[in-house]
Amino acid sequence: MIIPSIVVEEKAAEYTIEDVICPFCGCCCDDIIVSVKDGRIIDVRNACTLGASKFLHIDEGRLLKPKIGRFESAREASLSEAIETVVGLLKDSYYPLFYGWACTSCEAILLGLDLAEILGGAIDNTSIVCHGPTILAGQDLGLITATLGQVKNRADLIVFWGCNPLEAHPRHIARYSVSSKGRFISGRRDRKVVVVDVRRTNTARIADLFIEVKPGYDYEVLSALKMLVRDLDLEVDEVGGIPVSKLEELADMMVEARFGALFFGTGLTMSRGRDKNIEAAIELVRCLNFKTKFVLIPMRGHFNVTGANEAFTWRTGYPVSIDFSQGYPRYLPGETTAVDILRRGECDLFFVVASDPISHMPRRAVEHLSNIPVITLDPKLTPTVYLSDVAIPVAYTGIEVDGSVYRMDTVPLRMRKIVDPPPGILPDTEILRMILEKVRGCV
Amino acid sequence: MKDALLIRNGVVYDPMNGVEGEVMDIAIKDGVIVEAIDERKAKVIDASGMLVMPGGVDIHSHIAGSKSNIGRLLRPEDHRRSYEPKTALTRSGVGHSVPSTKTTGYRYARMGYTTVFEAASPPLKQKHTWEELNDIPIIDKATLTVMGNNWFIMDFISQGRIEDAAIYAAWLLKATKGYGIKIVNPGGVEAWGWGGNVYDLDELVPYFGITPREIVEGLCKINSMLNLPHTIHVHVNRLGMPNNCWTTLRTAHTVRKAFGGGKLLIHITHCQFSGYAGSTWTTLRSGAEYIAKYVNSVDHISLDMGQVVFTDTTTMTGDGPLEFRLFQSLAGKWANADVEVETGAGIVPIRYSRRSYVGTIQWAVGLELALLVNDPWRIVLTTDHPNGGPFTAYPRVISWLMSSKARSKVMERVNRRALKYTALPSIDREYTFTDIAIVTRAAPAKLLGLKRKGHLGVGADADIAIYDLDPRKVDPSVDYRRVRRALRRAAYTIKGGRIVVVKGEVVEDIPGRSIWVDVDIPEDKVEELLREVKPRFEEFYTVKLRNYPVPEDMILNPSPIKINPSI
Amino acid sequence: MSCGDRLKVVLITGRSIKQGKSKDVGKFFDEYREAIAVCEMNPTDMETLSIPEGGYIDVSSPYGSITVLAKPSPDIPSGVVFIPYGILVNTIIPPDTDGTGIPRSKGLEVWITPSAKHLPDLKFIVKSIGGV
Repeated sequence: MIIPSIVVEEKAAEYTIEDVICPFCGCCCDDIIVSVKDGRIIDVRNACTLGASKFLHIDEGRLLKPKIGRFESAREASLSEAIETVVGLLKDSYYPLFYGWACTSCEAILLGLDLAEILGGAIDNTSIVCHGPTILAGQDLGLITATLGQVKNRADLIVFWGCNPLEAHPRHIARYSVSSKGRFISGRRDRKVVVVDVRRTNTARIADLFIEVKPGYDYEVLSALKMLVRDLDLEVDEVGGIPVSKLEELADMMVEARFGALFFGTGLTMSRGRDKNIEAAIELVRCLNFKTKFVLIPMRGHFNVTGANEAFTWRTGYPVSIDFSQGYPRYLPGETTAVDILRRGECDLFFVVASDPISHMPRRAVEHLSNIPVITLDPKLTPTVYLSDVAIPVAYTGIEVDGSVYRMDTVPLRMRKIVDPPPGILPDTEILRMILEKVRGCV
Repeated sequence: MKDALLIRNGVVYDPMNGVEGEVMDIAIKDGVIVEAIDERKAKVIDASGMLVMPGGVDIHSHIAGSKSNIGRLLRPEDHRRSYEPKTALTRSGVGHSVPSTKTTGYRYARMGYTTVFEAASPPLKQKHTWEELNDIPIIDKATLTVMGNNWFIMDFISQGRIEDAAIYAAWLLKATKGYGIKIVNPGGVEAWGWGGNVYDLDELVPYFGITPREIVEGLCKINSMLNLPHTIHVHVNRLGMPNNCWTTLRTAHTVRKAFGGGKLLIHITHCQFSGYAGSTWTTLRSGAEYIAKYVNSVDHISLDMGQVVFTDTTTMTGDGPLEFRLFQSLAGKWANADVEVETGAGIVPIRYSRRSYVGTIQWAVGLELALLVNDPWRIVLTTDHPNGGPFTAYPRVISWLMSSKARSKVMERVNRRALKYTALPSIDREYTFTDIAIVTRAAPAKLLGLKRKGHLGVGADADIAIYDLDPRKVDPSVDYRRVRRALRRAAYTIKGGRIVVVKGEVVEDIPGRSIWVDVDIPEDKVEELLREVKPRFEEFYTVKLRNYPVPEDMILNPSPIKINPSI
Repeated sequence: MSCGDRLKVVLITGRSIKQGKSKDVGKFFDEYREAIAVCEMNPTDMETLSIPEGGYIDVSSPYGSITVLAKPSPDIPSGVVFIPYGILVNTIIPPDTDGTGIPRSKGLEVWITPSAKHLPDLKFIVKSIGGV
């Protein structure tokens, strides 16, 4: 079901909109105040530097017209010509891979799933280069989690493990975790903060306890903590470069907390062990739940990557990496995952929506794109757009078009349109619907 | 749709209108059952020798929303054993116990079910519930809004501000496009926010100065103040614990003591899970007789079964601490998802085994409840999908209700020692087709206050199930397998006057309708209350008040029912 | 571990405020290139290789080599370097996912050498990916 954009009525030349939801990271802060004059955003309040940057720079580096052709041989094309070209390429493809989906709405994502199913292709989202391992661990063991308000209202112990919110989720600290106020917690004074990382990040500066772990040793350290929480003795003096006395201190803090929250990021998902690291974290939190209340929450990077997981799951049963080539959803990490499909050169068309995989996947994987047609829907001129054979500009979700999104803790939110997109630029939902209609006509 | 449809010569069971196995025609026009139509202009279905009933109404099923999706995430292995490739008319999907959205709709329709209530949705995540429901084809849907651990409700009730609590509840229903008040382990899930639970109706919920009894009575009062079409829908405290049938009875009785008899006041859901006697797991007994005896002696309570089926399935509930306890015994997968200010959720896969002592008691309790409660209008067939088993097991459950022989067959292979502590072996009662039509159609529709569902009278929605089974010729007591087969795959399912299933296959994929109650509280009263509540709302929640409600345009095919409250 | 004028270190990639801010302005603007073409190094390690402040280094793995600006940071332990996410660092990350679907973007062993080269042009890099 497609939700139409709210038509922006005749408004005064200058106005302010409150309670805007920020479309940058997984925090989805919903207290942003945006000032608009003559149809353009002129001021943003309450947002962090990352969110503000997005709101205030939507006009720069923008793709204004559809283009056909790679690199310097690109030429402007009309929307209808671009759509026809895309449909032609899709029809000729045997195994298209649809990728991205983290920075757009669930409405668009569902259309992408429709398209992949009709064409018998594969579809994946950016979780696989980020919290894919969290998903694997979530499937094997189950996540023990809570919405962020539980942390705000109850948590007296916050642990940041392998994540750096001060640089990647700046307002998390004040809005949800470290200095947030709630019913049972009056603020920073009522909390202890621990940071575990391979380097002393900016977040470590605000911690009560910083623990430096040797790169690649998180699994051992988490396992050691689990043993300590279960009152088992460690027969070594240090684990992962950390003296056991420090680990005992942390274990005690965890067990004595009334409500502990472990926030974790790519420090765990991308390092040696990957999903096993997350499993170790889950097992630690499970053990802690026998002694006190403890949850873990993944720090999701984009404002709707969680929504991509949710929409994929309700429609296909799996949160990432779906293959429809046999006529039904199949999921096999390592087989149907986008990086692996690209690395093995198995797809013959790459269709990207709301993502820049050329920047964010290993080079050896994206080198396959020199062999196959690439289609992208994006507001901005990105490396992926630059390489695309067809690129169609689209509106910004959460700024120029409404959309349904999910915060990092799976709370659903509805983003609103603030300003109009530049003339001739449509929401990606419209573009996808046009493509679907034409594809349905010939399949 | 202007199509006219005539179902001719079916053997019709429409207990709401006193029809019990009469051969008659049913005329449909514009999606509604009418007195008569011009046959020459109508499509005709020859239902000779076929059983015709209203479309099934599922009063309690976990099909959509955050915890259902966590369930899907948790069970890739469950998906691999059951998948449906796309066809020219239908979409692909997966899932044995937690099917994906399209598959959910198709499977209900194939069984002749046309209305399903999502059993529990947390208001904060209600947009998620609706997004999934929008993606489920064919069936009409509604949701029950959880309120039994809601901070604002508990605070208002404990402060004696019952009218404000009612206004807040009405606003919550409107904000969530919900249908009714759901209570899950009242007070217990709030305690689980600290890792605890409550174990008694009169135990104080930590920090809230309120007891489960006060929460249940308060919401029961609110329910009648708002004139809601359904009663409070309650998952009682101590669910899944030995000897919990007494808590169930005390919960049921507390509202009667507070508000008297003479009308329905409370619906105890998936009662099987709350129907145990015997103080420990090893001395577990069926408590169904005690519950049935009580239900038979009063008139204010209705139940649904929550029947267990011997299969691999997935438990999911807002009762977080219950799922933690289950995880402790099963030591397998466990997912938990607390929801700030409101409730929680836990998901744990489970296998109910015939050989298990406890599993056998559980299986017996559900059936005993249905067979010992005399009034079929106050008991509904459910498995608390997927907790007791997938909804696709309903035909099997029906065959157990209709055939003592079918039950005996199962009893040959269960834990024999456990059977001794149940009443089931001594029960001969067999449900008739009329009884089945009541507990799967008429009763749930009536209990929910759905005036146009669950019956085939003029004006009803044209939601009809036709089964290839002649009730005049088939003895369900003996031929239960035949009954089961027929009910699994409807000969025809008609939804809103459109033929959506033929011979057990989906032939048309149409969207269903979304039903919710619009309680007409004066706007100034609501605004005044929200103005007062806003600062605390935004202090406790991590979303702004303005971003909390479900936007109206998010609901597909909305079908609101306007309600006039008594405040 | 140093080998003449080479140093073996462990590479950590991740987000930085500057990288996050500039990516939404535009990935072909200088601000973004500067944000991703930087490598935070332990000052002692920089001394070992005689890299001056503001100097460039080559960071190499079996998958490729990139030129970035070396930036001293006392918060980085010796033997570790940090480069923000982006098209540059992805040149040297292995594409294998070991059946997990996710590449191992943190904890890779790389070699650091002082470099006389300059920062690359991002368009040039994209074109070389595209086989031009």
